[in-house]
Amino acid sequence: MAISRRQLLQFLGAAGVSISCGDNDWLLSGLQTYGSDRLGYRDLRGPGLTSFSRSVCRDCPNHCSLAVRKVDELPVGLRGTPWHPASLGALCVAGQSQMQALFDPDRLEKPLLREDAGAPGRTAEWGEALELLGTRVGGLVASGKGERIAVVDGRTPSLGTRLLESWVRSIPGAAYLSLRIETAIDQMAQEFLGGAPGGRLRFDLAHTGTLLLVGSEILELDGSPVTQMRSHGERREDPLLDHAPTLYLGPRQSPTAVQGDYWIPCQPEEEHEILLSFAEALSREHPRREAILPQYARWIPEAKDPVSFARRYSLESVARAQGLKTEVLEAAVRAIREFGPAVTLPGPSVLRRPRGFVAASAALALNLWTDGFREAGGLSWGSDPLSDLAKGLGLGARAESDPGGLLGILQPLLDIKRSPVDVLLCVETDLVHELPGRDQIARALSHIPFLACFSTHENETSRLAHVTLPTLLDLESWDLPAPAWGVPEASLQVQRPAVVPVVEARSVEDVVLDLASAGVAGPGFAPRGKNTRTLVEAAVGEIAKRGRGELVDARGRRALASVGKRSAVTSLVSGESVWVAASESGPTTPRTKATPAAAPRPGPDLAPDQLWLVPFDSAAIQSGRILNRPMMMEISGMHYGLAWESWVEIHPSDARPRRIRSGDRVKIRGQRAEISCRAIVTRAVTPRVAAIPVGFGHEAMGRVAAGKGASPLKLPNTVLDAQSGAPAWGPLPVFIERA
Amino acid sequence: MRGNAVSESPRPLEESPDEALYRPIEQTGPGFYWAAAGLLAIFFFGAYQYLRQFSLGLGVTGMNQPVTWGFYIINFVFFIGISHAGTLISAILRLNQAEWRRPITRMAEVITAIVLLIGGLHPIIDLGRPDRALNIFMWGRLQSPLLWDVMSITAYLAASTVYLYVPMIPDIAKLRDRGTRPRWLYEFLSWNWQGTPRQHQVLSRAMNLLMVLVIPVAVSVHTVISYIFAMTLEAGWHSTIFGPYFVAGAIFSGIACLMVVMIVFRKVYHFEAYLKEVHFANLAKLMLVMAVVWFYLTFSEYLTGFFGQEPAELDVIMYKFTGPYAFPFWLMVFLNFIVPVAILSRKRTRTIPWILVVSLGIVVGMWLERLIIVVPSLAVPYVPFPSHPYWPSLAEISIFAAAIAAFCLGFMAFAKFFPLISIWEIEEGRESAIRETSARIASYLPDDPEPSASDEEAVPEGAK
Amino acid sequence: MSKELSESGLRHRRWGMVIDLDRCTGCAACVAACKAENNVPEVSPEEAQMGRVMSWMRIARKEVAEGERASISMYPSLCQHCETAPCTWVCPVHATYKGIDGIVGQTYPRCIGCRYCMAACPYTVKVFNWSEPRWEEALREHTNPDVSLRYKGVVEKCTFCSHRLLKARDDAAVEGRDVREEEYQPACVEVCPAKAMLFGDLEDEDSRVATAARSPRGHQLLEELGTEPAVHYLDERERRV
Repeated sequence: MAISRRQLLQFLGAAGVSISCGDNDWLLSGLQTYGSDRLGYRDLRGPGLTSFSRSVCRDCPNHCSLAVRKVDELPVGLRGTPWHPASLGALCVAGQSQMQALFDPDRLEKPLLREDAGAPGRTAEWGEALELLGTRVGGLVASGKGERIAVVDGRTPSLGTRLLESWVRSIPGAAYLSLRIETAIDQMAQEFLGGAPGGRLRFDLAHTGTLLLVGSEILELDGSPVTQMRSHGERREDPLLDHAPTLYLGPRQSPTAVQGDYWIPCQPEEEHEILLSFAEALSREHPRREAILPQYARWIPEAKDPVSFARRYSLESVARAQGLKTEVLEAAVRAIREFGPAVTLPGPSVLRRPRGFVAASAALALNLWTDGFREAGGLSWGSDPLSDLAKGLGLGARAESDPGGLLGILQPLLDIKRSPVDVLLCVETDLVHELPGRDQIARALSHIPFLACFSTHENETSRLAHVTLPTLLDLESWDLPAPAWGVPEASLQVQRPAVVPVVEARSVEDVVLDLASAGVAGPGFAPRGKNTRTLVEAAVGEIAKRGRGELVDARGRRALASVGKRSAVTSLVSGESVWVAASESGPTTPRTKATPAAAPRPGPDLAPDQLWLVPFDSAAIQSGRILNRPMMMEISGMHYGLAWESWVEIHPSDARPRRIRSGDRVKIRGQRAEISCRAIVTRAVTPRVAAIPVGFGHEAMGRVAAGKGASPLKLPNTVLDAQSGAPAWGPLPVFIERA
Repeated sequence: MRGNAVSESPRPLEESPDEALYRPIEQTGPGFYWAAAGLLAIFFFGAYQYLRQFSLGLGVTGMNQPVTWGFYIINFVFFIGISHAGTLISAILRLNQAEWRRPITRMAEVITAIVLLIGGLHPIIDLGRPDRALNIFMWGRLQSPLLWDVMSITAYLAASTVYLYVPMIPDIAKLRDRGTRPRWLYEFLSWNWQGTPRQHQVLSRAMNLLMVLVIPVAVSVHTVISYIFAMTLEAGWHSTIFGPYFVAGAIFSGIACLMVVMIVFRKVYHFEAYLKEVHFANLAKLMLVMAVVWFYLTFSEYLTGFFGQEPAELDVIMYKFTGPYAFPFWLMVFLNFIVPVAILSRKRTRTIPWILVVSLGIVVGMWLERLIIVVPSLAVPYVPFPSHPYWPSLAEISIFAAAIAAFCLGFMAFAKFFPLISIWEIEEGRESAIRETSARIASYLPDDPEPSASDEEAVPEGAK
Repeated sequence: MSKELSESGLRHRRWGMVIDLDRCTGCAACVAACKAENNVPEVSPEEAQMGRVMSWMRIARKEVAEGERASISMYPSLCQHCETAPCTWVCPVHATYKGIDGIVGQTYPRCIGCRYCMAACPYTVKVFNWSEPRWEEALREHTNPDVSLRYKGVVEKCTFCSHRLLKARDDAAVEGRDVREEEYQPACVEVCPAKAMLFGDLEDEDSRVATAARSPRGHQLLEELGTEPAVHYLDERERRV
């Protein structure tokens, strides 16, 4: 039958309509979504047995407790634990990114040996590497030349660091230096406040009236940023402290200072001027004025005479010199007076500067006679469980702090003609990257006959080392971290391995114990265990025996078992419980210590187009130690919309004449070197100051960190801090221009 | 009489006066094939870039957060906008019985059909998951302006294809009668047209119906596209003027594109006899009117925003006036308003070369207008957000080039098979339009009260 | 009002959050926790510099000049889970929708990647997978099994960790009761070191969250747009007198 065109079209139309109304599955079933199944992801792993394994984060001394969530023994995530008194469930960016550090493909898997600094390294077996190390160190020990041995430790304090320290101290003449800044603060507190040896600085931010932060911010208080953040928050909620302000003094207004009430901008290196003007104003009607002023006279000549002190450091004259309105300083003084106990905290950024100790001293001194610390339930010089523990375990006397430590070891290093040590062990510290004057430090280190590094990655320092030994990360090893600094209540938390070690590495303590058992140790070194696990168990047992605290179980509930029982020990070691110790606080009268101090050295002058380059620290960046984690690289610049790179903060009045806009790349020229990074134009810095974060600009350390951002420490700066002798961070006079 | 043609069809027995209109179909020179080859190369490069995007994801483009829409959406709006001139102009001119439309309508309708297909593909190109495009039909939400868009464009595409085809039937019949190859194509498509009066009646009734229906559909298309933007809360988008603004802009850009196409093909195919200065002059006057309308709407939009001083709105406006988008913005105003008004308002410069320059400027200017509507509102969010400028990538630029190449190719393909100028309407014009128009005009004039001696040269018979 | 039962017999709730900006230190722990919990990958440096960082939360910083000084404010920016969410109006395929207890959800398998919701969101909190997310070999195994991994071409955003809500509901259903507020907390709230974030049922007038939201220091972002977000910010500088 022939159909006409019209009928054909009618039929097609009807068919089309019916198809669109009807069931179309046959049409669509052939289409598959492209995506997950082709890429081999296991999107739904199905139900698994969830378990938690508790450990501790050692990225900063807060020692937050964390729980590793495992599904069928596969670690899948980290969480804070809500009942730990120092963190209360918090876990900062650094802690969150630990999993990325664990599985970093650039971790060292085997020891590396090299002939000379700069030569390519060859992988070797542990046996060979340990033998080499043992021979070099043992040789010096045996021939009685212990003073040619030095150890630099970059880890937060723990049983392991104490063990290392006691091993070093057992070798007569050998030097041990901890590079953590809170050690410096402790040392300084001792020096200027005359505390008893073995004391620790504690203060209760939550019950503090006016809080004066000097060149630091909550996030930079390397002591325990997480706890401080919480206390800072609680302080704001306390109705009695309503309107007690937070004053922030420094050349850069950091993110935390943004939430503070007043920012008192000052030129870098001149914080002490403002502090002294506060001292002058506050001391006027103070009953103990006659006793206070002579303390300042130790380093401020004008303080000998009250009249010259008043003239030199009056609020008006200091305000004028800093380019501020007098009302600003007057308001601060009023706040300190009104809200009673004020705590003045100097921060790491201040301490690392050439005249940092002056500012820090001024700050701490202000605390003394404004009764800041004491009234805030703060200054306490009681012993801590770990000191007891260390004594009890016979690990040697508590280390004498060595304010000139860095000076002692490194200053001669800067003089490249000779080296005072034959063996330098760098334990998880990247000296070349973290100390100012990168090239100089590298050159100095390359002259050391035997340099050994313990680290997880091949970094700038280990590239010069004769032996590099891979270490275990916190989540893979046993240890007993010291209680968090500045926390009123001490708590005991065991750091236990939550995962099987990802690479064939060993913890530092195990290496030391191996060496000791091979005879490479001084007399009197008697560890209470043959590996880290037994050490930790012994230590926990010791503490439990002395039992001064309460056992808190996994849900934060008080357990019925008393601490001394064996089951309690097992419970502590296995991770079920946390031991909360009663605080040992009690005000003690600080002794004045009469030591002569050098007058502050004036810094270089600034040429008209130069700016002061002021490096700043951040607990989030941790001097670059944790920048090999992708999450850190992405988040660290988030405030300014930057990722995977670093920046320099410039005031608009400096950016305008240089035609720099936010986001432009700029070149920063120092005396002999030049770095390049992005510029952020903001009013959160003082004019003539350019603030730059420290930690970026790695040249090694894995693919994530290498080549990202710029390090201000690369610009050579041979200025040394007058009090501590440590190489200082800026401020450097630099030229900044658009790239 | 056979020239050096590469391909030819058998010549008819008698020559028609409109041989020139048949020549592009029956004789294609080497120039055609060279041009097609070049355009195909561009097209295939763009297609390759799209395949690359299909495989690697939208990361190959320059879009980012916050600028999540870029070239693809800009071109989508641009191409659909151009579609307006086609059918809309053709329908409006037909409705008004403007006689000068006769050589223009076919090309206009073709532009619409091609450009709708190209423009309608762009949202699919823009999708992150084009393999799931059918989700729109399976789980579509009618409350979403994108769905209105889908419905509207589909309706317009259907309507304009029909509106292109139906008036073309007599021409196809002519080609069939001439024996032009491929014969089967013309025999099938001519639908057994014999030119009887009854068929003419049906055809004119169909065309009348279509031209009335097509206008609201066409208006709805670009209105609905504007609603994609206007129905959000973004600063610079949430404005009631968007509907009329987009329609006016679409007509404007469409006329300009039509002008360019007409001028180019007039030159290439030697249609000078059919597309005379007067046609261009009239269209140019229309374009001038649209330029003024466009400027009026633009001015209202920005004046309202600026006067209100609402912070978010002002940020977007200043981004366009003095910020990173200042150059495109003022260039747009220059090309869309200053140049057309300066040049087309004077009779002396209303000539074809000038018109070509102005039209090209308007096409570019209207593309810039789409750019300026889409990107700045996204680049300046309400909340503080790090700014990341948007720069198109190679993929986006080459797909744009491929779209333009596809347009040219489509046009050329059409010209190869179908007459670009409506032959039967030209014939109709010659034969009956003059008579009918005189009668119509006479009917507008006052009637004579009674026949008198002085009115002996009365109106011709049958002229009412 | 707050104790009404919804059809399923469970109490009608609206999950919401209060962020105290006077406590917030801008440390970005919430951002990191969100990324870790929800398997949000990092992007390459090139993509990050183009502006394609895939953070569901971010710290937004605003600097307003006041003469020589500036008023700077910082706040965590995350999906506000608006009562009348503009993103849900415009989605052509119902991939983003107002779901359980007021949480605005995102269905990855249905999303066609048109990014209309991203353009419509006034808070700019939605994020797109411009390329296939890349994971380091080993890390891919160690992603959170409770949250699906996404692929290229789909939009994603904060879900108030609704996978935790579903788990809590399952656990509660076993015991024949409703979810208690303290059993469900998004990762960001849990991890905040300054304890600046509160989360709970805004419909329950007695809850901590609802009480805090009524504080005179409370305000919301872009209130004038009428989106009625579920996130409140407390800021002394915005105190209502």
